[in-house]
Amino acid sequence: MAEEKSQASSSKMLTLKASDGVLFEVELNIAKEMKTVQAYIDDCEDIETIPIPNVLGKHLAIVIEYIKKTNEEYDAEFEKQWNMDDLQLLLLAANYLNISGLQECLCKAIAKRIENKSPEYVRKVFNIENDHSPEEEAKLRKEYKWAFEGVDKD
Amino acid sequence: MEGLAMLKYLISQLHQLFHDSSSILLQQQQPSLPTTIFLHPPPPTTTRWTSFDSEEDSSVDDCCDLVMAAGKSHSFRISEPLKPPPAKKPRKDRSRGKSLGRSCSSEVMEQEIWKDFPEDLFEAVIARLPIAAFFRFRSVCRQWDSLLASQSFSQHCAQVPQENPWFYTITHENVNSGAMYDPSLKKWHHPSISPLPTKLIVLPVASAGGLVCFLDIGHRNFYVCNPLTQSFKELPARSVKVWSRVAVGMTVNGNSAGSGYKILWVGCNGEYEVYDSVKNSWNRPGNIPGSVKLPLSLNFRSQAVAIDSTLYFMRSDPEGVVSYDVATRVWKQYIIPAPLHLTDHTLAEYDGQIMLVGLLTKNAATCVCIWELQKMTLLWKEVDRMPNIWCLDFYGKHVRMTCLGNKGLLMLSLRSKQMNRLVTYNIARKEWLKVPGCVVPHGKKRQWIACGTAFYPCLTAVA
Repeated sequence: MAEEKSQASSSKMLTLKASDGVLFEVELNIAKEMKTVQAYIDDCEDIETIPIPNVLGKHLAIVIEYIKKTNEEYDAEFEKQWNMDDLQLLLLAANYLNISGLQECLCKAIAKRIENKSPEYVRKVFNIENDHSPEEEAKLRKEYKWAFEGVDKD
Repeated sequence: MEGLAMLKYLISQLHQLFHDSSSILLQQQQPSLPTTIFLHPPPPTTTRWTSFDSEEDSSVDDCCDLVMAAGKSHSFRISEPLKPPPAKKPRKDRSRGKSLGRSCSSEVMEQEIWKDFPEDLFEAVIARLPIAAFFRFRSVCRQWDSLLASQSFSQHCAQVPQENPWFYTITHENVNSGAMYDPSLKKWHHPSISPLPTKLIVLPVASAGGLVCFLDIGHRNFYVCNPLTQSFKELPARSVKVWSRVAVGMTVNGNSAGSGYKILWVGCNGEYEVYDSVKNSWNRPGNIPGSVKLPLSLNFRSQAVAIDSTLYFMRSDPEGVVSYDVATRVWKQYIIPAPLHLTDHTLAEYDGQIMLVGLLTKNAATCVCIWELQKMTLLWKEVDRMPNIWCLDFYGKHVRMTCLGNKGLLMLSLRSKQMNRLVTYNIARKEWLKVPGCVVPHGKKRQWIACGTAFYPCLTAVA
């Protein structure tokens, strides 16, 4: 019985269940790209439906499509479709599911979106409180004056 | 509407059961209605039945009353039907930049998401920013300002593949506040704070792992620093009595300066010492073997080349290369005839391949040439030349050249009486690019660049 299973493993299907109940049937080799899912399978061999409690169906769909299609060309165009909030949720999903290629792609994408921006812009986008004292901030701006050239206007 | 259809089906089943059996249908222990009416597999432990409101079908009310009467402690509900996997959305539905929408059961406030965003993921993003952006964003908040001291951030930085090196150069106007050239942005940066103590006059002689090694002009003391972060260290004194000119090489122990580095100096009389940053001491492992001809006429204008744990130095008389492996502590000599009419030559390296860069002067024409070392024959083979148009600028003039950097991307400083041309050469792509003039902030004069070294910018390299 076990032998039969392993022979058919390449075409074996698995069901992933997103946090909002949406179900996805994926091939085993696709699911295995998510190291978190791989670990789940390793622990319980006979499992057919794996719960993914931290990821919404909408984002799981995107992640699965990424795994199926990823290549240099696809990756270059992939990130352009999403706004900052989606990128962030996708990165959280990729991090939870432990998919290194997608994590790398998304980290680079988010970095690229902010690389020419001002610190004020970054604080706004990431909802970060400025806990520098005015003196500290002035000192940093003076010390790294060279890094503020050519910054996009907010 | 789907729910209502399902409810109607449920009711018809109930009617069926009522007709088939006179016994109480709904027993408290086993509510065993046909499983087909469950649209959603019931949770394994209990079946919950909640009361159901509908105004549209009076039979439902009747049924409800029956059910309520039969099993008071039970209530039933129709769960939301299972959604099939979503069909692929056509491209036109996904407009660029639009959010996917918030119509989901687990609604999350945007701001809340970012508030709980793990530090680790922020660090992964920040490690992928260009260097200038990193320094600019230190003023975002205290957490981002403290990343240089963070182990985890250091690990993230180590995972980011190194792209182009930067060039740390000495400008004649202020010897100690070097100007740095960033070839990806084609920009010169002039840090306001020098990484070096101002009283020293030092020249960069080697670099590895994001660190630059300096030697003072009296050839006495060595200094190591990270030009980006002012991490600075004066090395302990060497055990020599005579301060003669030396050639210097530098290697890192692992992939980055995190695991330590070694610095070798060697003099013409065959004296040499190796500094180990882990032990913070100089060591003289032995003497140069007789197979290496002394005196070593070292080419001091050429930087040493490091490939893994081996350092390569140019020599003449006989012309060639001597190498020292810091791991095995073995010296070797390779006799390699130099190309004719060659001046101002230096060693370089790309992907484990040793190269030679130099000026070829024939009659009045000068050209910059690139050679590759053929390992089997130990001969230099010409592989590229600077575009002719650029060479013409130097026709009939006496030219000097310095090569800044020796790995992958080179910066060449070409100087004649009143001209200083800066050019970068990408060995892999055989690409020659002009470098914009270096002008200090609030200045107008182009700086004369003759000396410097390349370094791979590494925010977390510590001297």
